[in-house]
Amino acid sequence: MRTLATLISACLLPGMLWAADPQTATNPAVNHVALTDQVLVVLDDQFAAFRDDTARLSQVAQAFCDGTANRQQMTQALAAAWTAWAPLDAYQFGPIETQAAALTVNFFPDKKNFVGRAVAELLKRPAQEQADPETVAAASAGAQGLPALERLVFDDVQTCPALIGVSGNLARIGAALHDGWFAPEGWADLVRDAGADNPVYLSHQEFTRQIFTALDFSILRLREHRIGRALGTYERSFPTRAEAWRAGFTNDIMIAQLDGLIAMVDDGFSDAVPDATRAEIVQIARDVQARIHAIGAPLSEALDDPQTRIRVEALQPMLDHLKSRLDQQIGESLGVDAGFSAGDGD
Amino acid sequence: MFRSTLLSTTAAFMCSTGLAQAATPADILTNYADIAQAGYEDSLALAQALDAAVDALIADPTDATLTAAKDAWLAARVPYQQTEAFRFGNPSVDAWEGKVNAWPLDEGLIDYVSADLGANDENPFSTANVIANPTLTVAGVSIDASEITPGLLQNLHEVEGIEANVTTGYHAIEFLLWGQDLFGTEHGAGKRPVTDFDPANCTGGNCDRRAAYLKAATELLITDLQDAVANWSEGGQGRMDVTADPNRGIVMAFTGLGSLSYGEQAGERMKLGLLLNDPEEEHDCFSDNTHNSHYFDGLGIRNVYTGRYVRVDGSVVEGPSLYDLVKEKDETLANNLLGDMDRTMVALGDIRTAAEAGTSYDQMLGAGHPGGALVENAIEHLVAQTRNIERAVVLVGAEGVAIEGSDSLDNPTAVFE
Repeated sequence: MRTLATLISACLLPGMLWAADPQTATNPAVNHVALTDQVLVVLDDQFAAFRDDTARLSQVAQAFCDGTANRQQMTQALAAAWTAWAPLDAYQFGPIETQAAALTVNFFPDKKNFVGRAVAELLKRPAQEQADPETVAAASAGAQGLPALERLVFDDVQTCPALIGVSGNLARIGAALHDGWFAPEGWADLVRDAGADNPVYLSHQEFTRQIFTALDFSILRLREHRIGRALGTYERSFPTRAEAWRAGFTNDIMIAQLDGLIAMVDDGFSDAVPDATRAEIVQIARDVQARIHAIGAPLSEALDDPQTRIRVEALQPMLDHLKSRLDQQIGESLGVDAGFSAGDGD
Repeated sequence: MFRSTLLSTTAAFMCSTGLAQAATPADILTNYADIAQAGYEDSLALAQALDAAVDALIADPTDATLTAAKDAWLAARVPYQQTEAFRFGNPSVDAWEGKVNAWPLDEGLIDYVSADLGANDENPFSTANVIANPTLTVAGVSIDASEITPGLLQNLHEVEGIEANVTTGYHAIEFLLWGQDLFGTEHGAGKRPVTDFDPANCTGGNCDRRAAYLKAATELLITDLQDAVANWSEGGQGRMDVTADPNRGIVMAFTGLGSLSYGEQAGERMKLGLLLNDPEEEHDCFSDNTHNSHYFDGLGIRNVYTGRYVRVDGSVVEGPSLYDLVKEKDETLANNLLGDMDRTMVALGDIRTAAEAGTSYDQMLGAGHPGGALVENAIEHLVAQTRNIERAVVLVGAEGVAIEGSDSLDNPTAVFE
């Protein structure tokens, strides 16, 4: 992603003053300290949901391997954890970055079958080690996360007891991420303490910028990674590049990711962004969600049928529109522009 | 406390860099383009030296000529990696770069690979082996590869839209010279025997086609680098893009620095391999030269910021810099960012030191290896410098708009297409 594109565009538009710089065009109406508190409430909810759903997933995995939970319950628990992660995928900074969770929780996209190979390596270990979250935590990132669990549940491999070890480690990560943010002296405290001596945030506005960048990054993940990689060309699509195609979760993950964006815009920015502006962005995001529902099939199965493929293709310009309006409307209201993100680069 | 420490740290470096020059954006970008041009000229010159070494290897395949070709490749990487700082902000570079430095690759598309290592279930071409097969038949499609030419390699590059189908550039040549590294996270690079290039005593089969592939790939590298030199010479698109509108050019320059530091270098190239414990996830994986490729990437970033590049012949290109521009507006930020980059270079230097002493980068990727901490440390410094690059963009980008503005380009969004 070229997250500074908007800034460059601003540089090129005659007569347009860029409203991002604190020394030149700060939006004085925005109280970034208060905004920080509101954003942290949303983040607390989202990280707590992932912590709780991964804890539940671990319990269900244990029960599944004990024979007291069925496959449907197992699949539902995995789906819940994956969709709880979807909003967090955007926040690849702070504890997710320091704990490398973007890769351990959800190694996606997987360009060289790292997950398949890592799971195969895990399954070569003695059963006792497979069931041990500590063993999994020391293994390749490809063996640690949601895609590894998907392989264990949906591929023709020995599911248990590795399912217990991987889900147990994931529950540990879920708890560690929430603690990393919200335990005493966690990242949330660092954010609240923004100022000249803060090693990361010299102002609260820098945190606002980071959250805004995360939303831009979230749209990139949808457009390029979750849709674009699988879409390929009309002549050659790549259905097995779709996220969670084995489990058929692809569409639900995208919808959940947009739910996360909506929550941040509508709740996190509620005092800083005018109601009408938030309502417009939320409506565009809801429209995208409706179009995902309207595909009528999992994304991976929709690509080779021209009737459904066109519905997938239609999502990309809708996401472009969402990004454009987010950059223009929300960015202007907040007085920030997007900075660098993990999506920069190849 | 935080800032005063940084200032004292950077003061010593400033004395040796000649940084305190008055700067206008136009002057800075002329120097920026001059450094780009010099970097690509140096890359071209050393690619031509590599080509001569390849000729010698093909004419007389001995251990000595193979070693000489490898040494030429290693030398060629030094200037090229420093030019990577011109990626990710300059559209003409981004459109071109994949021809010469695409990575990672499924090398089984090019030549034989180990039965245990090289196949990629996601890529039907991952073991297509152009060298062994005059006709490729993959997924029902037949491709004539009877004559291995630069044109064939161009046509096969990223065939079917699969990024790992890399048939051209430095890493294809690296694979041909070294072969697969089968040592995993133990010490040792690829061990291709020179007889793989010797039709009279051929190992690995198809030695004449392997030599033809190596020659074609090297010729193509030269052609592509000639394009890069032209791109940054007077009238070239790359030079015009950054100099036509100084405000835009300054932001483009910083965009390259931040994107390479964070998403590409710290993330894709370093953190990924560390977390996968996978020796395949190192940039120069056949030659075990990754410590140098990372180091010179870091140096390229610093070159652009300080406006100073040491050429391969020892001469220096230097002039007004981004540092100067930032310093005029916020001296503390300018020095903090310089301090960040200096610490990054120390961290990348630590990796290089250990590697030169015999602990190769792929060993550091192994689970529990102490060298992993060196890699982690360099990642943290790259992330840290990105924060101040972002602050610099805010500072100089916004003020540039307020001062000058521009409507010099018709389609600004095309910059990042």
